[in-house]
Amino acid sequence: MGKFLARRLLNYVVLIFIATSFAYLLAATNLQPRVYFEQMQPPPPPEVVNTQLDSLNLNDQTPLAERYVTWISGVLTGDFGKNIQGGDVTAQMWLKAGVTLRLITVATLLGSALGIAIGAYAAVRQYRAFDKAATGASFFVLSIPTVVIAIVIQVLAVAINDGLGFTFLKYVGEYSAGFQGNLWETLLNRVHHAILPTLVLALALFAAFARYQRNMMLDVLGSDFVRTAMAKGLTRRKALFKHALRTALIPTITYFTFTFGALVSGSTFTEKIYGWHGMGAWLIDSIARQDVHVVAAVSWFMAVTIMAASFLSDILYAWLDPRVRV
Amino acid sequence: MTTATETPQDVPTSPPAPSRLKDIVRQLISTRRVIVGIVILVLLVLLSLIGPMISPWNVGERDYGALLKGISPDHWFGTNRTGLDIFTQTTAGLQKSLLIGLLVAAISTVMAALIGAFAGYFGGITDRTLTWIANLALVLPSFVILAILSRHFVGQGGWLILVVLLAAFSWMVTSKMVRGLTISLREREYIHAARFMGVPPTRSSSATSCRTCRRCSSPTPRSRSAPRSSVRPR
Repeated sequence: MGKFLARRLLNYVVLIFIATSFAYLLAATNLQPRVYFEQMQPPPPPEVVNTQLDSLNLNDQTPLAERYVTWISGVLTGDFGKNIQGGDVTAQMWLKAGVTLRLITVATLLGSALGIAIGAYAAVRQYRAFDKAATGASFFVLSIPTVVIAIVIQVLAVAINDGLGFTFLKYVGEYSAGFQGNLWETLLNRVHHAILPTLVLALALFAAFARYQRNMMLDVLGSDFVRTAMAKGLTRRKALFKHALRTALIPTITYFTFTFGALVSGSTFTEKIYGWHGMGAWLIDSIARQDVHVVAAVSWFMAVTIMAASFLSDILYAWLDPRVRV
Repeated sequence: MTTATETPQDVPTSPPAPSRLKDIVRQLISTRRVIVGIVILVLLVLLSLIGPMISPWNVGERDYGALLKGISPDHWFGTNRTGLDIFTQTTAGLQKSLLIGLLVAAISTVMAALIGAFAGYFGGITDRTLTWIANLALVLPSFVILAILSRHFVGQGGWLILVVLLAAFSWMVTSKMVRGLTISLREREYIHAARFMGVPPTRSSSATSCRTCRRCSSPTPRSRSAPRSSVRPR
């Protein structure tokens, strides 16, 4: 088992290296940092632009291979280079990752728990009223892009605030700008800001999880061991919880780790719309700013989170499903 | 000796050979969900074709008298901040979107079926190579790559590049499922029979197992609905 995991891990490291290098080369050949400097007002003289680009290792007159070697040798020592404004990419990356983690942790836990509960119960009551309502609701949510959900909820919040006459719901930013207060007040302020974006993500995730869990549960409910569990005298509730649900949860947990990994840098729209400066928003801004190093760093981060999720799901799978451990 | 000149009428009429296509069509038509889906698709196609025609505005036409206005008799979906009519934009854009969606779905499904079947049937080094490529494609940040390359999608023929790229990033999960099914089918008798009959392995793997996989997976809508959209930005 240990050897198997070690080999997996090595394979993942190679994959991450290739994926990040690919993203860097693509970004370095397709983005134009020179244009970013040339469009400044007033336009700086070409020599200044060149020295700027040289100091950032972004000069397109330097051969690509040379820039790549400089960049990759920095990455190997944990330095992702400078962003286009001269800031340190590595330090910023951990800052942005923190913002996104604060946004998505509660949302994924809430959304998946809700989805699993509703999906599992819908499977038990297949084709009854609850199942039909749950299926209808989740398909309705699934067919709306998260962008639209985010904007609709924001518009609703504005309407509610207007109707009440005071800011009942906050819909911009992670915390109030210039907010001063003790630890408790700061926490409260942050939670107040987090409610709506968390709701948006949880809603979008709930639908996917409900569908997935319902299907997994239906597969399990028809199987022999559940019938055996009932036949040997267990109550229906016990058979469903201890035998059916537990087995049906195994694939969902894999799905959960992947969703979480993907969301760390994939909550772009929610972050942009609600003014949270997280990973996804950073990526979009950096592409607009022709910022090669940030794009490469976000790609590295995405690859690492996906691989971590995959590795974690391997371990969880082995832990939950004894058949894998042979 | 007139036995050699048998007329066709003397032969007992055998039932017509079962046709796969006919079977599938009959099965599809008797499923209500399929009908509903086809009707919605046809309506969307009609909307995308008729919409720009019945709209009083052209695709690039701007109404400077109504910037960022809501729904009105002049502008059925309102206008954006440069005065473009949203209804015309939507229906005209729908044409290309439908085409892109259909092409990507077709290309990526064919790719997934072929790659998954080959990996599962041959096993060994083929399987490991193909699985490794699938893993690499899963790790590559498709959203980042599409965003970086987005300036190539504008202009004549740019949407074809988008189709190719989207298809290149959406076959992996399905191919893994096909691979799993193929492995479980590989040792069935009829595959052995095909192999002993001298059917070349490329043919038996691609044709037979693709078909069987499809047959196995299609009647159970549950197993098909594996999540494949978890990586899209939210």
